[in-house]
Amino acid sequence: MIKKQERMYTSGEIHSILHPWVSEWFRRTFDDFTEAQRYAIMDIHRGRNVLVSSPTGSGKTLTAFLSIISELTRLADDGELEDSVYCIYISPLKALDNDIERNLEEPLSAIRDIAAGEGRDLEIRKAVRTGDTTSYERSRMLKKPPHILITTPETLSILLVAPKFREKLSTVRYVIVDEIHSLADNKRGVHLSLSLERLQHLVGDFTRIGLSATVHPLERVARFLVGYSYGSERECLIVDVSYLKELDIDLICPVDDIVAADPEEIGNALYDILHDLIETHRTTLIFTNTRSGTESVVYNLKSRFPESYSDSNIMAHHSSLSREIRLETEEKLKRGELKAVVSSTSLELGIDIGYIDLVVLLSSPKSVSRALQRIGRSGHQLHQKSKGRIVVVDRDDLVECSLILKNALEGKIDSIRVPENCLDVLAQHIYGMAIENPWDIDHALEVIRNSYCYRNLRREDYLSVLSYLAGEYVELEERYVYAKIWVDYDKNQFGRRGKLARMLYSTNIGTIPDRSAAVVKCGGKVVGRIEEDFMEKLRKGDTFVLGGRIYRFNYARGMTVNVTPASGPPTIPSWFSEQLPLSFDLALDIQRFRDIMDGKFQYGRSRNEIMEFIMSYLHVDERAASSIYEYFREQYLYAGIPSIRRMLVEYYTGFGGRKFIVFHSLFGRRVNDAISRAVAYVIARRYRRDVMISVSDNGFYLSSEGKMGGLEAFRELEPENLRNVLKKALDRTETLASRFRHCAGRALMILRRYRGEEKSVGRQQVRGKILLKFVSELDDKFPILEEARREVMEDYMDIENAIRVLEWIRDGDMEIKQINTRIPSPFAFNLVAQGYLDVLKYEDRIEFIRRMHQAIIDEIKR
Amino acid sequence: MKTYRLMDDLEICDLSLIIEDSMVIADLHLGYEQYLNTQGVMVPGFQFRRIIERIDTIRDVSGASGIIINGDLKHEFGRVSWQENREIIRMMQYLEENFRDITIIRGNHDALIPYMSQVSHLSVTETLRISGFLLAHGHVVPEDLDAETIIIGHEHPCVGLRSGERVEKIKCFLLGPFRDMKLLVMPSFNFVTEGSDILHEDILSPFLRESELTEFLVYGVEDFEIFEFRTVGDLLKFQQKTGYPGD
Repeated sequence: MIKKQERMYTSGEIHSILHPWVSEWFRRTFDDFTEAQRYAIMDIHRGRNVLVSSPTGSGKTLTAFLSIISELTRLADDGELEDSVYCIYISPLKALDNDIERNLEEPLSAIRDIAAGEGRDLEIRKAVRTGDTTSYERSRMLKKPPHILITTPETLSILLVAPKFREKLSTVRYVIVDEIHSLADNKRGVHLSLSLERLQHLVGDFTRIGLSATVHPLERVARFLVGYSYGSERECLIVDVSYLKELDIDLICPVDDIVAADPEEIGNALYDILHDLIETHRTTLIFTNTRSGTESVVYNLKSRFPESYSDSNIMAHHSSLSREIRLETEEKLKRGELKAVVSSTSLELGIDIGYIDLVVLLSSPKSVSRALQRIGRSGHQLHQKSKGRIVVVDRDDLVECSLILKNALEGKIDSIRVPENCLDVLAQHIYGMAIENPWDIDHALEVIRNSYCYRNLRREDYLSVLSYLAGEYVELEERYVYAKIWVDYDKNQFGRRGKLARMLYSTNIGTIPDRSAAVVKCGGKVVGRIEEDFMEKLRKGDTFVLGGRIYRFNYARGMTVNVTPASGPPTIPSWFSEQLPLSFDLALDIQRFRDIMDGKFQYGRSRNEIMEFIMSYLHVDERAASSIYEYFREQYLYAGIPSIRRMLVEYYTGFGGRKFIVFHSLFGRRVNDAISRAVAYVIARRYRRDVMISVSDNGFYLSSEGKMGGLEAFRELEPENLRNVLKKALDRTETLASRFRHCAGRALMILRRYRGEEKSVGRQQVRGKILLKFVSELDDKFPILEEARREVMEDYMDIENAIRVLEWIRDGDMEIKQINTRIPSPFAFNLVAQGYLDVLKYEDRIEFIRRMHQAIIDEIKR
Repeated sequence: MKTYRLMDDLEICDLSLIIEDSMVIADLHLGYEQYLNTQGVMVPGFQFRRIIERIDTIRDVSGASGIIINGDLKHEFGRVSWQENREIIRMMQYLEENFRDITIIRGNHDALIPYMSQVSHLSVTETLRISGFLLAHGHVVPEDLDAETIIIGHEHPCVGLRSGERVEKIKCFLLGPFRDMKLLVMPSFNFVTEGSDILHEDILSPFLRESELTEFLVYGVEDFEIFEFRTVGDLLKFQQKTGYPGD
């Protein structure tokens, strides 16, 4: 049973359960317990599962650890503390692990001193164990295991199969999962959930403690944390003190009329504002959404205000930078040497970055929870406010950010979604289980279903994964190369195969796909790196931007690209795939706002009335409200305002007679991706011609040479057939090929380390495609292929909500209104101008070749 | 299914050439799957059967009674993997049963073939003259080049046809000038990969390095269908013109 913790305990009550030495240390060091500690510590002490959602500065570490330290002290005092592990702390980042170890040093050594004062020798050990741990440290850990083990999800799964070390886990009584919100919504969390069930099966029951930032619904995260016990949900208490941190958030519109202003004007105003904000604060953390955006902001600040900014006081931080540079930035931040740091998403997680007094979000972070997490990085002490400023860059950004502001202030957060039934992660874990010992097939399934992520795992999918692992897709005589487990269907058992199984497993586990980068050389010198996906697309003569310069692609050899400097605009755009998608919940809120505005215009409300409404509803100032008013008014007059009750579909003819159909489906890119691809597939099948698609958060458009029957195709899609249509639409796409490669890596069909050698990470794409070709010809329902599809449809896109949208249309809750326009309406403007373009051809390979051939011949003849 | 007359005495039949009553294929790279295994890609052998089937079909369509393998029958350089061993023996058996003459022109991957040939009774040579054509693998330029048309393998040419996000690679023959002669480059006769996209990759063969690639004619081949693509230069111009929509 998941329930909210209502009871707050008194200091006296808490001190009564703590060991006297611990109690004394606490009294000496702190005034009193924090609210989070009052809610959580007693029940942790009683061995109950707890999920704590609290802001930074609320004493998180001690909330989780205090009763555990007390318990360990008691055991040590009674002479019962063995040389084994009692508590495992797991976080997604090694840096965070290191921070925690440091944070535990003080209490543990202080308590040791107190004990020494009474003539007692107390030794409570803690240690960090990750991929970075040296072999010397590892063997030491085996001889003298830490009582508190600090680690990562990946390392935990390796320890489960380590024959000697796993015995030291038999005394584990507590498991803490930190930053659980950042794990619960992706495969890393899925992976961890299975590790926890395997751990529980190995050592028996233990207390689960989850530490989370502000997410919604917390019940879901709690269920993810605790899972099931053979069908019945385990219990968990939720401690929610996230409201505690006071927020000082505001939205800044750089110009008076953002609708009319041109980009250069906005750009100039924007940097003036940024400069001003940075100057008036000690250390500012600026978030953009993309790596290129990050580089651009740092560059611009340095070149526009050279007297104020240089390499010594402003730095960029993102995942493409080397580890050394990132560490340097983090260290400088901690020492307070930087005036500003610009980050994409890399500094969102709670690693210690020192004192930040202002967070600036440059354009929309695309979800309320992300906005709050980012802003929450400021004001480290609990009594300090979290100060954040959202600076908008265009009109859609303005509307979006206003809704984010409103929801953030009103505490309305978007929901988190936990991936389910991931067959690739399952394959990896079943292999690990087999390495531990042989299993009964049915019993293993029960243990797996104890994980929240696999509670609904179908038996046939489970058996399909077993069959894959047993190499049944290969002829018997070759099976020994590919099979990882043996399966005995008569005895109903499976176990591992091969002497090197444990090494293979340990060196290949994980869920994060290897992203290889190709080296770009110009005149023999390395000028940068590009992602393999991008490199594969390049053809001789293409030009692209790298590090602020333009180059022409000559050829590729292995993972090296040869280029020469070029001029003029690039022919290949740099990557859009980094754009964060707008959350579905937020998209609906924007639509509801549109609906209200539509009503106001329809009922002829005055400008003043509407302005007042906007300012109070969205909590924005007059300047922002004015821009919003103008934007909506233009749309209302020109074409009518699309909203949650009415989807606007615009038809217009572009140059050259090209037909465009714009769907104002503001549902976020993930839903739109699913719907638009399915629609384009239906059209291409029916009319046998190319359909160009552009998808964005605010809608999508289709474009074709001739008539295309876009609306009929849209209507052909029904909630019941969407999945099927989408599955076919995905079959020949790069997206599926790329995801398949990642899944194959997780399912150990592509190995990073094999026979003791690290494989070159290069040319993954090509190799992935060879494997995909083999698999799709072999069996359309091959589990890894099915998983790749599921991942694209459910995790990358959002088919569940796409189905909901289709249901609304079918049930008449959302009507469709068609209009013809001569130029795109104001709301369509950004849709048409931005968004990524994806020309999808759905024919079979041979049809594609034939048509390309014809197109080329026609072109040459001209 | 039919053959395509490229020039006098020379026809294209799917991925092979027909000269007199022999069929010419190149770059089978048997054992490639096992090589991929050593690179961590756990794909089992799957192309052997297809290769045999394709040779069968070409033989039926063309009526060829001899077979010439223009290099790189096998993949591994310095050793013979078990997959190669098994497949080469089976291949030799198949060829002996179905062809009157069997010739292997040594490719750079075939270092061990002479040793194996003693086991399997066939002729292995560095180059071959037939009907006025000179056949060589293409990894080195032989000294004696007296011929009108030189036919090589080694490059594994294919062209990547790109339209937006989608790229489809199609194997092809390349025909163009080399010094004062004509050079014909054959596609690879295997079903694991399409080969090396000449619009994207660096050139391997010393023959092609000496020539002007943009002048070469491209003949795409897919399941016995031939596609005349004009020249490499035309293809590149087309890609640049239509480009990548979306700026």
